[in-house]
Formats: sequence, structure tokens, C-alpha cells
Amino acid sequence: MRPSAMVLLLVLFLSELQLSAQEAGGAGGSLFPAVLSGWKTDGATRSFGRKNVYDELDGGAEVYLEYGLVSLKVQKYSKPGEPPITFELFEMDGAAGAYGAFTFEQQDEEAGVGQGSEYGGGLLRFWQGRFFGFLQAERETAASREALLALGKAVALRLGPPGKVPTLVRAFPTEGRRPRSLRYVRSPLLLQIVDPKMEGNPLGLPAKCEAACARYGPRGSPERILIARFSDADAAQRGLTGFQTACFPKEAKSAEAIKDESGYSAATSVGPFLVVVSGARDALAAQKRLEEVLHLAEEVGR
Amino acid sequence: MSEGKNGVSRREFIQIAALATAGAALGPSVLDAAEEHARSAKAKTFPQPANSARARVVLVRDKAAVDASGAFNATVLARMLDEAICALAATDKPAEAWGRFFGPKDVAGIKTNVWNFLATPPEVEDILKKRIASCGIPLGSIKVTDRAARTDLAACTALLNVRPVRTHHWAGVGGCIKNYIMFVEDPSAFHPDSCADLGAIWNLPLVKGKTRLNVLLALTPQFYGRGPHSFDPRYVWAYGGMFVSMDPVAVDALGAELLRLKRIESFGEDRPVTSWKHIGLADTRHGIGVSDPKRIDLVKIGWREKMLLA
Repeated sequence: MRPSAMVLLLVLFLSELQLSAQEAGGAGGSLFPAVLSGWKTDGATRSFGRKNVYDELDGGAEVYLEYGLVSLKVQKYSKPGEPPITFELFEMDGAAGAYGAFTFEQQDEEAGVGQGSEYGGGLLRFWQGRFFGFLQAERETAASREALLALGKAVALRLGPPGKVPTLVRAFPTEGRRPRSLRYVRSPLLLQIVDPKMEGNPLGLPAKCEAACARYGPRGSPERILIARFSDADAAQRGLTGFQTACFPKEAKSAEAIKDESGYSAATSVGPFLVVVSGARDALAAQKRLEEVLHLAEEVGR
Repeated sequence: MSEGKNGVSRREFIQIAALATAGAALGPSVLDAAEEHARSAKAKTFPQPANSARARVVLVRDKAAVDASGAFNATVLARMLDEAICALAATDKPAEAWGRFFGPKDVAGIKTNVWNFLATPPEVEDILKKRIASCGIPLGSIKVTDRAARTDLAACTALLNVRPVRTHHWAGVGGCIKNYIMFVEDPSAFHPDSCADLGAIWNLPLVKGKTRLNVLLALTPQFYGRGPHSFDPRYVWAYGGMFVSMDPVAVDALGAELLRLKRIESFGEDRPVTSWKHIGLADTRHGIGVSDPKRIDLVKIGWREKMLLA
């Protein structure tokens, strides 16, 4: 093929690519489709940073700021005779923040959007790479459900490669764990929301940290496991001492399970990890859970 | 009804209110007498429920307040509000009861809530405005606002605080205490520690001592929230109730408990939500009312089915 013909083909190919991007991705190569399933963008995409995110989120901003919010993009959609849809795309400072924001209130069935998602009650939540997506229809209809899923999938495909699930999560035993109960957090403030026993930060975690908790047993069971990662083994040991001082009776020996109003609790540290088992049915069950986690945490730490 | 240790006693309050109400009907000389009595009782502002020994809250419910489609019945709502105010003022005459809280000398305003997903129903705002006007205040002068509270309600001498109760992402519960956050220039300044110090707003000169009534709506409360806007339609239910009191802390304490009990009923256990510590601290740290249920006298009126609160 002559060079001029190759250049012509390349130009045609690039033009085609640009056209496809505009059809699917909206004018100017926006992440948001201009039209999908009959829903059209309603106004321009609005962008918010850490300082003005309160203008968009009335009361809900703090959670996303704690997860490392970098920016928020909001796109409204409308379709005659159907409820409006709002698409909010949160860009975090890393995949861990996006994953955490997704797990923070996860409860519904997987919806097949991005690398993790759920749909229920007219709400679609998903994460992909360093992005957390949230779509809400003002009212749920069969058409709005279909549109939410289509919009979510279309945008998720444009958000780059999947992000890495934090390794800390692998330290949680899967046996007996309630589906969708694991909450991954990045600050003591978030931790005390998902685990009220952590009110006042008895572990002494720094403002930016890594921790997670999960619930075990059937509905109504108080059993839960909490794992926090400290900077090193000494810091984890100090966290353990602080926790035992604040939450365990003075006479309790550090290695034994103690009984409180929710059941039996036990805590220990291994390497940079601090592990707390609470709400177990008896002392033996608490110690068994603790050993399970210690084994997994050691593997994660390697 | 509370007896504020820094204000006038309940007896004095009723005397002042009775004189003021009578003044509306009898003319300026009686009004002057009422004002003189108020001055002598050091009651330039209404009695605050600050650090009260006890608080009185009326919970009124009616199954017909909300229909199956979620529409509100204004006639029923008006009756509920009148019944509640009568119970609060210990009288069977609504006009007399409303007159104990608002009078013709007041510059009155209503702090409402316009949150998109669960706003104060316009029907309720309309009824409250008319009831306040019936106390001798020109209807057109009564401002109703949420976001412009700091400016539009600044000149008010008498406030009525009304909003629906719901879970809140960062404050745990959105209730009457939190509703005054729009009186400050930078609401996010009150966000630290799960909005622990929202009660401090009530001691700012702009609002201190001005609130005559708190109406915490539990018509369709939200007991659990999800997403950046903290709203999931699956967790709203038709309770058909309203908490009415002079004490913002007491209505919020009961509202928070109602939501907690509903979560247990619905989920089979209480799901973790943000701590609503600001309610307790509004009592213990900021002294604006009573948070301890043992010190709240709850008067229940109307529909009893699935009331949840014992």
C-alpha cells in the first residue's frame, strides 16, 4: 500500500473512532453517554472538588471525603414520562477508596456493572478502578431500572482497568461470613459508623488508616471481626493495649476472651495487624475465630 | 411542658400567654399589662427548655394522614396539629392553645426543611402559617424558609421549627436540632465528630430563646439511608405521626428512638448507623433541652397500631 493511501485510511479510521466516541460518550468525549435507552442528558455535566462538594451533597459529603474524594461529576438524565435519573461519579485518590465507598453500605444483589456493583430500590452502586459510581432514579420503574444498568455499564467501560482489592480483605475468613457484610474503611470516623464499638477510636488509629469489619453468623447474630492495619508491629501492639484498656475489664488477661453484653470478645495483634473478634457465642468460638484470622493475616503480611 | 430554670416558670408562662391572648381580643391596655407582666417576670424571650427537669412531648398519630399513594390529607393534618397543641397547652380549645405560643406582638417565622427526598409537606407549612396568623399576626408577614433562615428569619422574635425525622449520613438523625444548621454561615463547620455540637447553634444570639414550638414530623419517616444523598425509598414508611413540643432535644430523642425501633423491626436487628450523639450533647453540653427518655413525659394521641414507642 502506498504511504498516501495509508494516511488516508488512518484519517478515516480516526474520524470513525471520534464519531463513535461522540455517539456513545457524548459531545466532547464526555464519560457520560449523551443518549441511552431513550434517556438524554439534561444539562451539562457539573463538577465538584473537595471544597465545594457540599454544594451537591447535603450531608452525605463527609463519607466520600473520608474515602479520599478527589472530584465528583454529576450528570442528570431525563426521558418524557419517566422519572429523572442522576448519575454521580466519584473519583477517589486510589482504588482502595473506591472499593471502600462501595462496601460501606453494600447490601443488594450483584448487578454486573464495573468490577463490583449492586442494584436495589432504584439505586445502582458500582466501583471500577479509582471510581465509585452512584445512580438513582427519582422513582423506580422497569424502564428506569433498565436505563440505570445500561448507563452504569456504559460509563464503567470507560473508567480504565480494574482496581486492586485491598489485601487486608483476604484476612477475613469466608466461612460463616454474612454476604455483603464486609466494610472497608480508611479512617477512624468511618470505622465508628460501621462498628459502633469503635466510637471514640479506642484503637488509637491515625486519621488516615486502613481497617475493615465483617459480620458473621445468621441475621441477628452479633458476631463480627475487625482487622486494622498499623504502620508496624509496635504500633499494632500499642493499639491492642489501648483497646484492651478501653474496652476490656481491668482484671482480664490480655490473651483470654472476655464476656460483654453482645457475647465473647477476644483481641490480639500479629505483625502490623490488630484483630478483634466480638459477639462470639462462647470463649472457645472467639478464640477459634481469632486463630483463623491470625493464620490468614500472617499470609497477607508475607 | 418544660420549666426552664433560666426562664419563667410554667405558671408564669401561662399567665403571660393568657394575658397576651386576652390582649388580642380586649385591646392595647390589656396587651400592655401582659407586656409589663412579661418584663417583671424577666421574660423578654419565651421560656427555653434549657436543662429542664422534665420535658413534655405530644405524639399524635392518624392512619388517614397519609394515603396509600403517599399523598397527605390536609384536613386530617390540621386536626392532628390542633389536638397536639391542645394536649401540649393542657386546654381543649385550639385557638387558646395556639395563642399561648404566639401573640400579636410577635414577628413570627417558620423554619422548615426542603430536602428534596423528604421535605416538610406544603400542607403542613400552610396549616402552621394559618394557625400562627390566627394568633393575631398578619399572614403575609410570616416567613417560611429553610435555606434562607439566616437572613429571612433573623428579625423574627418567635420561631416555629418543623421538619420530617430521618436518618442522616453524618449526624445520625436529622431532626429539630439539626434543622437550625441553616442559621449559621458555614454549616460544614458543625460537621466534625458526627455533628456533635449542633446544639451550640441554638445558643447563638440569632436564635436563642426564640423557638416557641418544635414539630418533628413522623408522617413518613426514613429509618435507614443509603447513597450520597442518604435516601433509599425502601426505608420510608407511613407512620402517620408528629411529635410536638417546646423542647427540640426531647422530640429528637424520641424520633431517634422511633427510627431505631423501626430498624430492628424491619431488619431483625439494629443496623449500624452514624451515632446521633449530638442529641445527648445538646442536653448535657449545650443545655437546650432534655434527651433522657426517663425525663420526657410522652403524651400519646390517636392511632395506636404499630406505634413502636412504648
